[in-house]
Amino acid sequence: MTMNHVSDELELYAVGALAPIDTARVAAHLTECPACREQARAIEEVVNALPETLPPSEVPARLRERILASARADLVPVRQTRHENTWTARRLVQPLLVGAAVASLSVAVLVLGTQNAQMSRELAAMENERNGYETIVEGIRQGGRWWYMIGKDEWTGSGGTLIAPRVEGRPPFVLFHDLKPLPEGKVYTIWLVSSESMWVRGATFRPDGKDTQSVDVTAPIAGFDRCAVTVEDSAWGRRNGPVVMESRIVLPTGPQN
Amino acid sequence: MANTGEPPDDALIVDLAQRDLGALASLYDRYARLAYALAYRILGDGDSAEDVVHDAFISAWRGAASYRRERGNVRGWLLSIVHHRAVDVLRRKTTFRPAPLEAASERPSDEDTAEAAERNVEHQTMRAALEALPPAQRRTIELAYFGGYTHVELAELMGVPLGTVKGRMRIGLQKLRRALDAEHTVTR
Repeated sequence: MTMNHVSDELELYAVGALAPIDTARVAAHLTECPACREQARAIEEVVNALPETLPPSEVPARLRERILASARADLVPVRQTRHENTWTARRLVQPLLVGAAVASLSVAVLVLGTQNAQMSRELAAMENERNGYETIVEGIRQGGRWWYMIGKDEWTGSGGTLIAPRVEGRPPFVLFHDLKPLPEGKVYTIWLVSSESMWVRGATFRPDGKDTQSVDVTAPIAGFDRCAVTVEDSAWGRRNGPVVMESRIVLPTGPQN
Repeated sequence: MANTGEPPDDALIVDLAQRDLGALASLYDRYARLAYALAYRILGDGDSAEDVVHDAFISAWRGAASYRRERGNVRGWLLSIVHHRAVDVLRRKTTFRPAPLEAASERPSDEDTAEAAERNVEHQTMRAALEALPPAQRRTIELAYFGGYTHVELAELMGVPLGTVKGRMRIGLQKLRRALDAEHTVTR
């Protein structure tokens, strides 16, 4: 199988100067290619020395205790769920994890001795984001494929990662972040688009208002070469609304490494 | 890792994966200043920097079991978490419209950079190597890494082709690599 190396992009990757979709592509290649990985490691060593050029800063004294308090509060729920590492279990226990995280946050806030609602909201947002990353990482760890859809125009700042887990019986799904709320009567629709421009509805949903939202795609993605998200007036019928994010999707035809 | 008598980073990360709060505290004591300086340099705001460092250490705490030595050392792993999160926050905050070059190169933490860095003897080599780069290479590296600009935005901002951005980045980092290698040879 021909492998397209990414040596030409490793410097940009290391400093974080690639677009998200290219970052994901390079990261995926690095998991498969020891030669590029070795080059990347050498470049990252230099890049990781860049913070040494900065003047020393006074770290806020409260930060140490804040971190330790969060970690302490995190101990119990993480221990309880550590043995749960199959894909099915992860998906099933996700609501429980979120519940446990919320409980942890409450404890953390108490330990910190603050009633600051803003801090609580920020912690909850971070927790939510962390769960999102965890879901993506878990999908990739299972040998899945993924594609990032970046929000366009008014949806700049929003995005979604389409994940196709390579586990039999597990549906593909999209993990969205920062979805804009929609007016009453409007819905988001996930479409799979073939090379002949046939649009097949994969899911219809309303944003739940959280930082991240996972939506299962009910159609298999094999045979389609694009995934798009539109805003529609109806949960059925043809596509009419504007595309707010999309990505090309290409599944490998040969055996995967 | 310079702390003699202290457990090495690799041992701390093993303990961290075992949910050892002492290991987390040790890693924090070792790298918090660097992590905070990086987050502050990128975000230019103490509260946001604090949040990012908090989140990065908690992410390390929860993800220690996924750390792989062959992908890089613990310090680099931690700093890359901080960097990714800080740039992510920056991009969300600003909807990421490129600022004028002058403004971008004069973020708050640039103040007194040279004077403060003089005090930091350990880091003089890297600082000197960065300062010795031709201005265009240095600016490209700094705006990408500390400013969070993508190469497309940099090309637009600096009015040069994408290939030039890529070339400046590559040559600049190669020069820094040589400086680091030279330092390692001397201290060996």
